[in-house]
Amino acid sequence: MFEIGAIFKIFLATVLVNNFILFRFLGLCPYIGVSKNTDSALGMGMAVIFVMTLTAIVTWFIYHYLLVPFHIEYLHIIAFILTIAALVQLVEMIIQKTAPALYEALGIYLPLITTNCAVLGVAMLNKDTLFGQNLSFIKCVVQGFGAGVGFTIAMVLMAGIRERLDIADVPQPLKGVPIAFIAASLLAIAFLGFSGMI
Amino acid sequence: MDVSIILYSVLVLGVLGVLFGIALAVSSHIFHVPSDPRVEEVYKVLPDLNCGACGYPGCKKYAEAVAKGGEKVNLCAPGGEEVAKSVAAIMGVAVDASKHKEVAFIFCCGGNEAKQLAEYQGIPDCNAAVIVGGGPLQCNYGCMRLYSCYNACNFDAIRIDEEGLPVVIPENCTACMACVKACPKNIIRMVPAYSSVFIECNSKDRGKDVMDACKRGCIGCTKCVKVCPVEAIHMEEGLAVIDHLKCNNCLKCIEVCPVKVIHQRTSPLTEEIQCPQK
Repeated sequence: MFEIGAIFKIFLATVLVNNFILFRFLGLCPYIGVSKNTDSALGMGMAVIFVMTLTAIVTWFIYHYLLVPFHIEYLHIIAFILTIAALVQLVEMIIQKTAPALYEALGIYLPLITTNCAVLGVAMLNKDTLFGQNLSFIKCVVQGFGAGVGFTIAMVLMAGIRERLDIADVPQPLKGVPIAFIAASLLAIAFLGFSGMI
Repeated sequence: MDVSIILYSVLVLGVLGVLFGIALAVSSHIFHVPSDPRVEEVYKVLPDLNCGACGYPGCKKYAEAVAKGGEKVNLCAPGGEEVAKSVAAIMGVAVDASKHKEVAFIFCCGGNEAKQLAEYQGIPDCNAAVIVGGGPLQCNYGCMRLYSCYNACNFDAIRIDEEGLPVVIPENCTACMACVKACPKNIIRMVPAYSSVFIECNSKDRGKDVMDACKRGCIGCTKCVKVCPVEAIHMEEGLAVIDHLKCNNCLKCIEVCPVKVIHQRTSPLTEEIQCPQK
């Protein structure tokens, strides 16, 4: 029972309180770059959820069964990047062959995620110890999935705002990216309201 | 110092790298998806300007549409006839000859003669100026000379003449229509590249109103319509309009026009865009 409660807490924390984009400021490049319309933001978000969950699973095994036994934990960044890059390539190929429709929806965003710092962030946070204890496998996966969901929520919200901004009467010097930055900061402040919830 | 840690790190990362490499190499064979080679070929002959004149988001998408969707081969405006021919050769179809090269033209010669109602001191941009009561000019159809079209042009095809009016240089114009979209007054229209006589006014107001607002405006007197030997000029809502396909450059309309809004193109035409029949 305690376990389920903790898992739910982790999920809620990564989605809302410690939102990867709006609280940790990871993955800001796609946040500004791909948030011009809701459809592509959603596509990107789905791809990130997929890759983050998969990354959480694979890097957990790599870390605990490869790096820890050989006492080379200090190589985690290089190992994680290698793993993520190879994984995304592999997944892209498999999806292209087996599910062309899904590839059309995710395809152009998958390569973008390869070097996304938010994905690396999931792996790095998962390896961190919590009160001297390693996070369990399930908790790591939930954290990865939750981070992806949080990313998607922030992306879609931002895309919705920017779609409205496109038709709004914005002063010429603020048009485009400047007003998007202002909207992003306001959104981040709004998400600050969730802090202290857990 | 423990040497084994160096050995382990090299071994573990090396093995990881080799494993991933092999896995990717194998899976690229297993999951190989044959793609249409014509997409690449078509993409190569396109100018890669990504101007969007064809209606697709970039040259790559247009190449895909041509190769897969059977899209028309002559939609690339910057590439013109040459690109259309090479694309048609790759796709094994004939070029539809009905589309000829077009260039943008700015249909206003008001300049200093257009009466200013007020002095506009806001953001120097046409789209900003029209928000303030339709712009500073009395003429609702006139060029405000704030250069939204000049700023929109990516190909250096618009220059500013001595009166401050923007003028399209047909040699540089790729017909991407960026200026057409940028103009809030809809003064810029596309014309065949070889056309050389233009009625440079866009005002559909009554003759007297035009006279009040601008000394260089079409007052709808229909003199040019009557004098034209090939019936190339007709009236549209009080505005004389030339059909460039019919015009034979006799220049009679220029002589007869009382307000001198009909002009022959002043910039020299290069041979490649000269009309084939003339």
